[in-house]
Formats: sequence, structure tokens, C-alpha cells
Amino acid sequence: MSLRLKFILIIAPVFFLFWMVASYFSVFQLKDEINQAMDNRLLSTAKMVNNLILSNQNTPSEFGLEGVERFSDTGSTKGLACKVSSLNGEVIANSHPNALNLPDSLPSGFNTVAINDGEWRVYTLATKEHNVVIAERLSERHSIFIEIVLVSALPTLIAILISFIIIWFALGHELKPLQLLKKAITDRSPNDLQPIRIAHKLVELTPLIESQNALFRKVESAIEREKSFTDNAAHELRTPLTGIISQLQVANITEGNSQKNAIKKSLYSATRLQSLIENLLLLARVENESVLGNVSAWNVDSELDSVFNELGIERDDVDTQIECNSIINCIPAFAFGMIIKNLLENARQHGETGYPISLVIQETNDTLTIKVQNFAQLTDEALEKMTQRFWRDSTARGTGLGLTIVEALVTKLRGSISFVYVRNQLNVCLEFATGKPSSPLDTL
Amino acid sequence: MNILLVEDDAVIADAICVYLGHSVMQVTHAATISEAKHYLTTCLFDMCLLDIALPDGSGTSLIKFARKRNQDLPIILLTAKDALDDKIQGLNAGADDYVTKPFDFEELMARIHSVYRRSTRQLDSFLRHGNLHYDLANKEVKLKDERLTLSASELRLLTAFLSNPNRILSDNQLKDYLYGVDEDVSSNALNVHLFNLRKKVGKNIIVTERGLGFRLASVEEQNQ
Repeated sequence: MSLRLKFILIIAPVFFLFWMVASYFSVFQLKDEINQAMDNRLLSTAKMVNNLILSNQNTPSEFGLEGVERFSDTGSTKGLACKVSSLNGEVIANSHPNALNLPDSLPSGFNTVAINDGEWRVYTLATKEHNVVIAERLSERHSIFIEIVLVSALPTLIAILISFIIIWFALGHELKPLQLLKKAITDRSPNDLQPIRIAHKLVELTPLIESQNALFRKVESAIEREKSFTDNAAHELRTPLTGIISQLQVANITEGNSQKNAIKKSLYSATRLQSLIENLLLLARVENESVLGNVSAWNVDSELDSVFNELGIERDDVDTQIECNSIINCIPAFAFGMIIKNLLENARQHGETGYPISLVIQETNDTLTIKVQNFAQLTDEALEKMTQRFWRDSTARGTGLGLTIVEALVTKLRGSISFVYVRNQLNVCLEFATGKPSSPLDTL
Repeated sequence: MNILLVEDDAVIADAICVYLGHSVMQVTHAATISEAKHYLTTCLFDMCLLDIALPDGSGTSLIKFARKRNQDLPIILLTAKDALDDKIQGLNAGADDYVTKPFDFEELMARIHSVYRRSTRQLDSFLRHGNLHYDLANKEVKLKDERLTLSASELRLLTAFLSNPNRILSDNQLKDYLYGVDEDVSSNALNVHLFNLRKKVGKNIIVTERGLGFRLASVEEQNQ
């Protein structure tokens, strides 16, 4: 249903109801006025007849009956009926002597009585000489009333109809910007994310268009990010895959040491591909909060041992300081392991060789702090893009996902991460609240 | 054929160098744009295989640089990016062809020959000079319909001369064709290969230009 039709369907009954209520009171008022006017007519008529009779007192037979008969509609009971009778009940004059028998014993004034098969409004004027009774059929009054109502209602109904037509077109005109907006949205292709531009003067429509355009911008930005991620992921996955395939092709055409070298390099690329896939899967797992959902207490030493084992390095290779309880329960062991592994791997791969790497784990009353420090030659660009997916320094190895994973984990655990680079030393500092076990955020 | 390979991934670059070397092509490897620019300014190449995503920038900037220096250098893009926009951008920048990673070496070889033929305006994969026919695809050399047996180094030298029929090639350029840019080789080794080549294809086919280098003799000069 169109908005215009809906407006009309809302306005029409309300409009009609108001008119009906107003008309109802008007009609009642009109009815009262008509009744009063008709009663006055009866009264005037009675007085007039009385005056006529009085003015011809001496010759009632010559004027009264014959005069009334001459001007009355004697064949029917329509219009007014009149009866003049003496005080002793003798009928002096009667407008409908055969068809209508008006009562004589009514009190003076207005009365409504049933005569034959209909109701009559009767006015009785009682004088010292005679009684004058003027009667009128109520159905005639009703017919007059209906005629008046019909005659006066027709222009009103036409006016209402014209009003609706005018409102219909006016609504159509005023709602045109909405129609244009609807057309602009429905006509555009799914890939079209250009902002909507419509010339209009509706204040209410501006925020709607602005919010729609803001949504388009967000969608465009999200699509761009997705495309960029897909392109980068495809590039990163294809590179080691190409290494495997091309070295296997070389192995196929060579022999001896060349063949062995080709296979070795192929295996190296396979390992690289495996590492990349694992990191991508890990990033996807980190973004799935259920992985981090259950936080139970764990031992920091045993987790560190397993990380060092996994990295293939000795505890002595890293200057480690643990200043906390051996049992930690503010972050999951899985997240701790992943964070330490990626930070140490990052420091080893991108840091200066021959310089020490230090790891500090501190716990105060309300904060667990993890710090990794190493020597590195970093540019401003490197510091800025360090956590960007697939970003690597021009000379760096790795998948470009390590710090991205760390940042994603920290965000999930409502912690904070900061990078400080002073005098060729990079300090990565992570902080988590220990007041209660961290629960993952709903979204990254 | 002397090829400049610009590729930052060492494993892929190694495979390409070995495979193309096995196909009697001399490959010089550059891992960065700046390194490649250095080679382009100092050496002569028949073709460039170029990765787009390089550590110090986009490969398209190297295409523009190469086009300024040598309009005829054929360039084939090797890249892991397969989006249509990337291909269009690369080809619009002046690349001659596009190979998406991972690739099959047979396809790469076919594309190299195809682009090379187009660049030298050949209709097939044969290099011809007088009675000498060199089938690039099959590495087969015939002189007056008689098949010759040439070593890989001799084939490289022959390719260098046949690919540059009107140019004088210096000792260093010929050494680049033979051993690549990075190898430091004595002139004696080059002379040995030249001697052997002349012995097999005819002593008049290569003319020594004193103080300058060597060039392919014209058909008329050979017949004198």
C-alpha cells in the first residue's frame, strides 16, 4: 500500500467522522428549529382563525364554514387541519369534516396526539366563545425535515469529496521526494554504492538520505576492506604455493644435488604455507569468541615452557622476568600462549640479530602486564602499520599476521596494547585487568 | 635469451632461474626495484619477467622506467594477484603479457617465446640468418638443413647474436648472456666459446669489431 493511499485512508475516516458529528448536532438543531417554526405556524394559524371568527361573529354561517371549505384541501388529510367548535361541543367549522375527527377535549396549548393511523401536532386555542384546534401531521414535518437535510447535505458531501481529491493530489506532490528516494534505491544496481542525491525541501527527509548515504559509505568501506583482505590473502597463499609447484617442476627436470635442493626448497615453501594457513585459521578462531569463552586458572611457568618448546628456543635465550603469582586466571591460557608465541616470534624475525630479547610478566593488584622488548630498526611507517594484516617491512620475513593476531586477542580480552620505540628499542606492552576473569567482547 | 627476473621471493626466483637456465636462457635475478633499475641501466636484456608486488614498490613503476630506457624490452608480469584490476593496471602500464602464480613452467616458456616473437616481429619461434636456422622451442640449430650440436653456452651466444642482428655486442654484454650479470668471468672463457661457435656455424658469421665487441655478419659478408 502506498504512503499516499495510507494517509488518505487515515485522513478520510477522521475527516468523515468529524463531519458526521458536526452534522449530527446541526441536524438536531435544525430539527428543533423546524419544530419550533412549525409550532409557531400552528399558533399563528389558530390566532388568525380566531380573529376571523371574531370579526364575523354575527354571520358565522356565511363565512366560517363555507369560507374554510372553500380554501381547504377537503379531500385529504395533508397540510393543516382546522376545527372550530363552541364551548358546548358544537362544531362551528371543520376543515376535514369527513376524513378527520380532531379531538375537542384537549387542553389549551400544544399537544401531540394520535389520530387515525398517524401522529398529529395539535394546537388548541380556547377562548370564552369557542375552541380553535389547528393540527398538522407529524409525518409531513418529518418529510420537510428530510428534504431540508438532503438539500443541505448534498453540497457538503460534494465539498468533502473535492477535499479528498485535493488532499490526494497535494499529498502526491508533497510526497514526491519520497517517491524519488524509492526510485533511486530500487533502480540502483546492487554494486552501485554512490551516494543518493535528490533535490527536495523536506527537512525530515534529509537525515534519512544522509543516514542511507552513510550506510552506503560503510558498506563500500567494508567491501573494500574485504576485497583488500581477499587480495592480500590470495597473494600470500599463492606465493608459497608457487614456490612449491615451481620447485617441484625443477626437481622433475634435474638430478642429483639440484634435485635435492629443489625438493628442500619446495618443503620450505610448504612449511611457510602451513604457517600462513595456521595463522589465518588462528585469526579466524580469535574472532570467534567461544574460543576465549572459558577462563580457568593455569600455571604461567608451564605455559611459558610449552611456548618456548614450540618456538624451539631455550628459556635462557630470552631474558625472562616473572613477577606474578604462578597461577593466573584473568586471561585464558590459550590466549596467553598465542600472545607470547607471536610476540617472541615477531621479536626474533624482525628484531636485530645478536641483541637480547626480554620478556616481563608482572601482576599488580588489578593489572596483568606483559612486556616484550627487542632491538630493531623501524621506520615511522613500520610503527604505524605494524598490526595491519599482511603488512611486512620490505626486508622482513613472516606472514604479516603475528601482531594482528596479538592485537585481536588483546581487543577480545578487553586489554590494551601499546608500542613504544625509543633508541632502536621496541617495547610492546600489553595490559589486562585482573579484578575478575576477563570475558570476551561481543564483537571485535 | 638474456632475461631479467625481478622477483622478491627467493624460492620462486631460484626455481625460475634453474628452469630457464635449463632451457638455455640466461637469467639475472633482481629482488627489488632499485636492483632491477641498476641492471636495466647497465646491461642488455631480451626480456623482463616482473613481479608486481615488490618490497620497495609496485612493479608497474619499473615498467615505466624500462619503457623510458628501452621501448622494445618485452615485459611479462608474474604475480600472485589475479584481480582483473591488477591485470588491467599492469597491461596499461606497458607490460606485454601476464602470468598468474602459481604457473606451469611450460606455459611460462610458451608465453616467453610468444612475447619474444612478437617483440622481434617473428611469425614463429625460429631465428633465421641466411642458411642458419635456430628453433628456439626445441633448441635445434641447422646450417643448410644440417643439424648442429651446440653446447648451452654456444646456444646462448648464438641467441644473443641472432636476437641483435644489427648491433655490436660488447664483451660484457656477451658475458651477461653467457653467465648472467652477477658472475665475474674472464674474457678468455668468452673467447673460447666464441671460437667454438665460429667453428660450428662458420667463422664468417661473427665479425670482430676491434675495441668495440662482436656483431653478426650480414648475409652478404658471410658469402664473401
